[in-house]
Amino acid sequence: MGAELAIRNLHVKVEGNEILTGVDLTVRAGEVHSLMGPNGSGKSTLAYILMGHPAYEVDEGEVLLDGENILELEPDERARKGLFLAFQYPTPIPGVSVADFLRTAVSSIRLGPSEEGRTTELIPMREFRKEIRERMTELDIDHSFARRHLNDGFSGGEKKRAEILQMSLLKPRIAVLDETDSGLDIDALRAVADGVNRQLSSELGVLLITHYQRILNYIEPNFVHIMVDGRIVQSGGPELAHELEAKGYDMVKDLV
Amino acid sequence: MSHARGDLENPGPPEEDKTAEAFSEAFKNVLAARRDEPAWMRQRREAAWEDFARLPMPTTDEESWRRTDIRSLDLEPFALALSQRVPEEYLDAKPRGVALPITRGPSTENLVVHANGTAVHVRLSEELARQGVIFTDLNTAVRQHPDLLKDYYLTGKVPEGARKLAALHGAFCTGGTFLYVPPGMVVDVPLQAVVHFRAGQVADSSHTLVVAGENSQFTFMEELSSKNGGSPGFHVGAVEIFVGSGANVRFGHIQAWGGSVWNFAVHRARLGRDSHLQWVSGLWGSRLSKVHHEVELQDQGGRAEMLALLLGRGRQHLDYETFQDHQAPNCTSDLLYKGTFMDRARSVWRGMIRVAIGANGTDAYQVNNNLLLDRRARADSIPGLQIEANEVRCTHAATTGQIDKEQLFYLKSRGVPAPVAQRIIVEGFFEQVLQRIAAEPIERRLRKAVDAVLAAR
Repeated sequence: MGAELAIRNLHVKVEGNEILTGVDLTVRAGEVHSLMGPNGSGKSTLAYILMGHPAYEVDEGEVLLDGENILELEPDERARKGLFLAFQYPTPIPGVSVADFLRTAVSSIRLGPSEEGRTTELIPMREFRKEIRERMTELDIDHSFARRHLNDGFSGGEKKRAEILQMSLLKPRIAVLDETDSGLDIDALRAVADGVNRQLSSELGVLLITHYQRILNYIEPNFVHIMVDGRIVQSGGPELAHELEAKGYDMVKDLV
Repeated sequence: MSHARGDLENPGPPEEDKTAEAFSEAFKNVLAARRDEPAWMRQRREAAWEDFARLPMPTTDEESWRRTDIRSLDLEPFALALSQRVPEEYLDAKPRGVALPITRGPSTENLVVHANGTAVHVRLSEELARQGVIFTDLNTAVRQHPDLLKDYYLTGKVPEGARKLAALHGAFCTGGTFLYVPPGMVVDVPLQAVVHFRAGQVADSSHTLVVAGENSQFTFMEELSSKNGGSPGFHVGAVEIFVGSGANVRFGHIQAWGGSVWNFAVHRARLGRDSHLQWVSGLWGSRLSKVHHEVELQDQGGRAEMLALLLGRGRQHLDYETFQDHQAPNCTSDLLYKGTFMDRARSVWRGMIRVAIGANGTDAYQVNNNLLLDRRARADSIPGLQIEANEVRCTHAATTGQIDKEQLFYLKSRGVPAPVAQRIIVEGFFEQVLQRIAAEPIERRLRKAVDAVLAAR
């Protein structure tokens, strides 16, 4: 059965300010949804909330993954249920190599943690090495990248490629891509978009969060939603993104 | 009113008298047992004894001891232990049951082991001996190479805050390890020493003395360990390393005492022209440690690295005071101390870089990073610079904090459970020290210790 992520009447406050003011959105396997909106509209907050960032608290509403409310789950539990977030600003983890970490992450997702949640059984090195090399080749990433420290001293393009590399290995059922296009030159954008497109299938639902229409020239969405002031004010097909590109966010000002 | 006692000649409380008496007695024993030692050594010993008898025990009123309180240390029982001979059954024992720092292979060559203050195993390969390497226990070295030792043994200036206990060391030092590598010699196998406590209340005042001839190169590693079943132990030690011009020395010091050992020491290195020393410390033992660790860049072009990894647990108190002393131009010193502290462990790091007049072109760095893994753990970090020269580059940075929440969230978002994610972050934290270690056996030993400590968590 394909996955379904259902966001229902989601309200979120941060330090007393309401950032999300009632979001409703459903993403199913096989669909690509683009969530667009001006800066400060709450897009990234939604991404963090979906993954379970500890700094945000839900005031009202629910987030259902395959009918189960995931808001009480730890981020790692959500990930093991098939949710993935490509970060807008991936956190540097000094001293931890990309390959070592990804082997642990892939093992956690595929084999699950032990009962105490302490140690994770690891998938065989040979198998993992073959897999990561194939994915790196597809994403046009040099193989030496695997030995570098995770997001530490990475260029903007390298960070985004590393996120998509992780997605390709973790094989999520629902992927939230938060501004994966920001700060990329055209070659990097194409490589990242190709990487995402290669993963699209009837098994994967994507929520593509972006400020600009540009990435939608490479990744074709089925649905486009516009978020302003913490809620979705308009939804439509791919044509909505083109209209937005032409008219700017002024076109939705009246809908707020 | 206590002043009514009115005994001006003997104003101390009774337990202090008892301690002083016990040490006097013990010192007489040491002198009697060492009638044959050279006059210069006896003079240094007696001078140290006078200092020890005269100086008060350090208190938290002194800057160096402000964060390290040793009032609960009862010295008296250790006086006898310091002057006692080791039980016969330990002598010339195979170092069985002693954790060797270099664990790969059963080799007991190029190894000196001390148990309860006495050398029990001394082996140097014939090949190295033939090439002029001297690697033996200190007493043998004093007998066989007195003139060589005379120029080095206890010749360094003692840091102010260490004087009382360094004097105790000087007065009672009756054992230790001596390593001499002749000029131009490259030793490609690691040399190792173990100072070990077994059974009962033990004290040790061993001294590690290393002399690297001009342009020599070698790796030497020492490990302090104990298996004395929780009885109190006491170590008052010293390490002195003299790095000749152009020499390249990789030294590993592993402080892995059991949790009942009081650990005091002065660690010093003096670097000659264009020499290089990488001093790696693995510090995770003892109940309480107060160690002064100093490098002296005496001639131009010297390069000293001081890398340390600290792992504090339980109620351990680890106090390391460092000094990078730039006396000559165009030298480099680079200090990186990284520690994690769990439970109620506590650490103090006080670092000073001094650049003397004329030491232009100095590059000096000091970084101390502490990661507190439990709410009640604590780390104090006090960097310092004292610069009297021009054209120098000096930087210092100290950080203390808990595991970064954003890092934890990121790793968890990839499906990794919190305890595993924490472990990955801590390993990454230490990796920044481990990846800089030039000597593979030292690196391996430290990795093993990190794994063991984190696995036990």
